[in-house]
Amino acid sequence: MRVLIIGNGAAGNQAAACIRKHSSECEIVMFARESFPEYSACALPDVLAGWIPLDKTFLKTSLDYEQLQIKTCFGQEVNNVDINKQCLEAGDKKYYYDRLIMATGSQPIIPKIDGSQLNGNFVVKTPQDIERIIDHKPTRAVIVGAGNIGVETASALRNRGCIVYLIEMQDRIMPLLYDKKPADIIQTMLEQEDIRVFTGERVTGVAGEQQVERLLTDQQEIECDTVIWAAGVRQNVELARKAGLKIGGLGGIEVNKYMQCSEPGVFACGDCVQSPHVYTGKPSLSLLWSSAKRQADVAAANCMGKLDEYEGNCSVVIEEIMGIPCVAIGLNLHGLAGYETEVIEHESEDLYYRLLAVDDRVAGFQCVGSLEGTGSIFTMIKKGTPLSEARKLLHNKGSISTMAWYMDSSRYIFGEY
Amino acid sequence: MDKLIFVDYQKCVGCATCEMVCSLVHEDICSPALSRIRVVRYPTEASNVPITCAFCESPPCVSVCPSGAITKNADSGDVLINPVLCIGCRQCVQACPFGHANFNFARGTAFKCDLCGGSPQCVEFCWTEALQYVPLERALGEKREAVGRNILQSS
Amino acid sequence: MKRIVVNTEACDGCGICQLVCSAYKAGQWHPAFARIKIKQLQEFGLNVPVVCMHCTYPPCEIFCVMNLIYKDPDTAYTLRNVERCIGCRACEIACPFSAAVWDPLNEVVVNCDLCGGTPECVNHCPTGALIFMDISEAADKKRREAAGLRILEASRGFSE
Repeated sequence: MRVLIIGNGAAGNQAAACIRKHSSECEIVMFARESFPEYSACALPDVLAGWIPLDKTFLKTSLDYEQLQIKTCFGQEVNNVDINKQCLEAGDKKYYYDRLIMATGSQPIIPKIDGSQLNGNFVVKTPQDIERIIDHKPTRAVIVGAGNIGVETASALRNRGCIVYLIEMQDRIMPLLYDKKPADIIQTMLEQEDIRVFTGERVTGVAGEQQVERLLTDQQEIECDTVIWAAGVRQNVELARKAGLKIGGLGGIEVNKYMQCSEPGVFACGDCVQSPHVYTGKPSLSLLWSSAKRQADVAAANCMGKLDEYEGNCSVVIEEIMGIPCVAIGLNLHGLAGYETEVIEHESEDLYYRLLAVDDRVAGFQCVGSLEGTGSIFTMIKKGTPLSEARKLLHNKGSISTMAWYMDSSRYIFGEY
Repeated sequence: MDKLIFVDYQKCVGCATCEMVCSLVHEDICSPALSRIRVVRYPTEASNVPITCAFCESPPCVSVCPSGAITKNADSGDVLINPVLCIGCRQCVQACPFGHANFNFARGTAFKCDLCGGSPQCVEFCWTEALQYVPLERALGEKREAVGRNILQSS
Repeated sequence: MKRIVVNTEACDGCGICQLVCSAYKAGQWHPAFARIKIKQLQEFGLNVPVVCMHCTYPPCEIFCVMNLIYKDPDTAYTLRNVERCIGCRACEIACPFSAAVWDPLNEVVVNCDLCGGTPECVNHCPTGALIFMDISEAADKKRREAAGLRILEASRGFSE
């Protein structure tokens, strides 16, 4: 059997490794636009901060691909996929396949506004981006978009000694992960780190001659030499669309729970797909490393004829700001709009948490200050354990003795400290 | 759940037919170690106790499973493992009070009785009638009758 | 395939396993550095050691952004190339059992490696609460206990 994989990110590599685990004979060929081996995008802010060297972000060497017997066609763009003939075109060559895995990933968006093409505009996506930012020697940097990438980049640049501004369009930072209150706590923590955070501001343009000199928002002008765009990503689905695969309403490739696309023999995984959310069951985009890897496992198993099912997206994002862990699991109130949500929250000097429950089920959890018990909460969200049942279990000596690890979550479930 | 595997261990001779059949049906091999139903033998007491899933009302294996692979069907009462979702953490093996949930290391997942989808083969092949797949009420009635007869005879 | 099996009733919460683990694995003498943790359930008077279960499909492996967690092909232990860890702590959330442990000294996350096949916590456990045994043997043992109870009950019910 011959499996072709398009994409060299977390999903593509995980799929390749997983296929190799299932079969030692199967022929695997990987295509990627980039010419470098797999790297960890999540480690890039750490490089920017100077905590780890750039070469540590690379997870594989060309030797590893050889050992896994994966043929690589890196630096080669796939031009076309012909699903009827089961063949794809890359360069001037044609490659035939039995199974195709699309893991084309996503691309950060730089909006087409005045000055966004000037020298000094960056994104954080590849190791090259980080190299370019470091070579640029930023001193005053504005990060546009306070998602998790934005916040981590801001923290990292602050660690380099830059003057850092963080601009967010919505009324709070990390609006898709946190609610207003925990977001405000995190914002205060960032401000203590001397990061200047502005929420509720829209960026209108970038000014400068050849270099970025100022960033214009609808409320102020900020003097800067570097602008980093972290205001969202776009799925790379052009190839899939050209091939005639169904694209969903959110802009991702449509797949079923076996990660199979609308056409037979084609699977997709990673950032470029949309799949149901573990709680709501509605289609959602998950741009997380863990989702990509799990989806790739499922795609690889199913394309080798083994059964595996994807449970659904559930976001887990963890940040460490000044050594204090901040966690957001599942949905926040924004994501639960339309559901009647019960909020269990607690605030004390060194700990804040809120647990969101809908219909006796935990749907989301946000915590600043501790990681204790988050594992069991995450398990509850994924599993859909009723809150009442969890409370009963925690009071039952017979059951708790076999699942003592559940005890860590008791303070969140009962709303105690 | 109206029907369950009812065990009359007074009748069990420990022949291991049920274990052979079970492993053959589920694993394509006659190996009591991979059987869902297991017979505990007490040679000196001349007793044999077949142990299978009790299909508890609130099963510890279901509460303990972190991946949601074990579920109890509210209508039929069946407690089943979905091997696709099993992450192989063996919590269910430690939690089951009967030592029924077991672990297949070759496959890396846990296994337990699934009632063969409605017609348990161990019962089909049990020639001593130690295993019966009967409605609970009938099994209890028979037991009540036996006790009554016992009292009548001894009085 | 031997794993650490916990006999909850036998554990008296002395904490020797934690200290031994921290000594062998981190060169420290403090429970904070141990990979095995005793959960104290005070209201029930229970102490339960919690340690890595070495899952077949470990959730921590999926969550690791550096792909440094792997299953050993021979022993099926869940192991880590800790020197590559950047301390993002995602695996701590992924683990349902809180068995991925933050090492505050090196700022990395570690888990039990069963000391390569001879777990020292088990060797030093004074009460026999930790047993290193084949998991199906553990099930056999429990089954014997359950069956023993039944025979006891039956002999009472019928002979008297």
